[in-house]
Amino acid sequence: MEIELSVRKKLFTATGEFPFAADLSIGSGEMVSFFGPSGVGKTTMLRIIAGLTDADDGFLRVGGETWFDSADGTNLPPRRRKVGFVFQDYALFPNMSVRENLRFAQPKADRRHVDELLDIFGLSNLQHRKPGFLSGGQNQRVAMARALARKPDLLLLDEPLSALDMEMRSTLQDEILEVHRLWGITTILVSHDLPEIFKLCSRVIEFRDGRVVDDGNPYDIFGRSRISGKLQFVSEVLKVEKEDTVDVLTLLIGNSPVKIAVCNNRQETFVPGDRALVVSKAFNPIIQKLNSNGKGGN
Amino acid sequence: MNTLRGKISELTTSGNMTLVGVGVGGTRMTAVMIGTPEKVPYLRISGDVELLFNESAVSIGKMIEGQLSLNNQLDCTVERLVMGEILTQVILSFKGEHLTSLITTMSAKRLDLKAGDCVTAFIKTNEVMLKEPDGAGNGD
Repeated sequence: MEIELSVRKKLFTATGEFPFAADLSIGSGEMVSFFGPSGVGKTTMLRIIAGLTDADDGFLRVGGETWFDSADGTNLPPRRRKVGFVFQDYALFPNMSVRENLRFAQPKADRRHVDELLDIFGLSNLQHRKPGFLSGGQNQRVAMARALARKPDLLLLDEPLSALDMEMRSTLQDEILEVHRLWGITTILVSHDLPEIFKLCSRVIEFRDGRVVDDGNPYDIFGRSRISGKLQFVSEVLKVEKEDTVDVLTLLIGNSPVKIAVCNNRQETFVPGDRALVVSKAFNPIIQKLNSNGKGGN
Repeated sequence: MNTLRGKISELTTSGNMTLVGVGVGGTRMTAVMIGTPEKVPYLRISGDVELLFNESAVSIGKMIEGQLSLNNQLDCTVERLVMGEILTQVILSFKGEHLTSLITTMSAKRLDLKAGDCVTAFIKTNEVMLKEPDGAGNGD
């Protein structure tokens, strides 16, 4: 379902009060990321869409239907908005089994859909367990499956994987992609993790100071450069070590840590957590074939 | 990373590859890239461009005679050296701009490099990257 919204809201944060405003249009079936520093209003945006927080002013239309409009007082209650919401702390019902958690989310029992979700998220064998007996990754899978159990028009993911280790994240990302491929649900992901955004989202909406400051595909937003080099990777600096007269940076590119030596007399210094663009010319990498294609002797 | 600014003086295209000649304060430098002026808006004669190359891509010659294949030969003065056990940073001055060459300390000693030396910096054409200057106000 496509989303059209124009909202204004005063936000109260630790640093004081500031106005938040956004005008957005998200196409049906898009998977977009909300990106930006903490406390900028990304979660508030999701809550406004889900109906958990009211905007002060504006409108929200999903699939042509008005969910909120301050002009005529329209404000659909959360339960009538077909939204699946997943938080970082999965907020499952501890007294219910996995299957019951999924079932409870459905307005009308749909056993086949529950079975399908249990299967997609590899939970079939755990369906009678309660959340307290599951790992973090398993619980987050249950939360994902529960969000999908009511067949939502929109899927809102608020840093759902940020508490998980890298391998578990990667598996759940694959499952999110699979779900998106299957049902094409319009999805908004709040994430600070660049590899995750690159893997999942075709569009990034960047918020700063209470408004949208950038909107485009991840390569344009994070890799914006007018450098001619053909190999360009957006990376995150994990570690900086001084070796001899150079700095050796450990960078995370995708899921792989790589080491790059840089001359340490440069003006810009790197610290862990920095985002960095790694560029190489098309002529420079050394390429070796790995498969032998049966051309004589393996 | 070293950065020099210049103006494009020559564009030679073959298929999808372009050899770009850039005038940098009276010295001609070249870069080769995959891409053509049709697809890369900043590739135009007299356009401003930045040349980027790694410190480790800069070789140093002293009292060089004979011929070398390298197109990019910059007459520089050694400003100072930062010697490590294995690698040495040679800070060079080229027409008022600073360049850094990262070479082995072994080579720096063999060449007996000292501040004030007149040397030639060599950069292979395929090591030079081009960048549209920020705030160039064109091609956006």
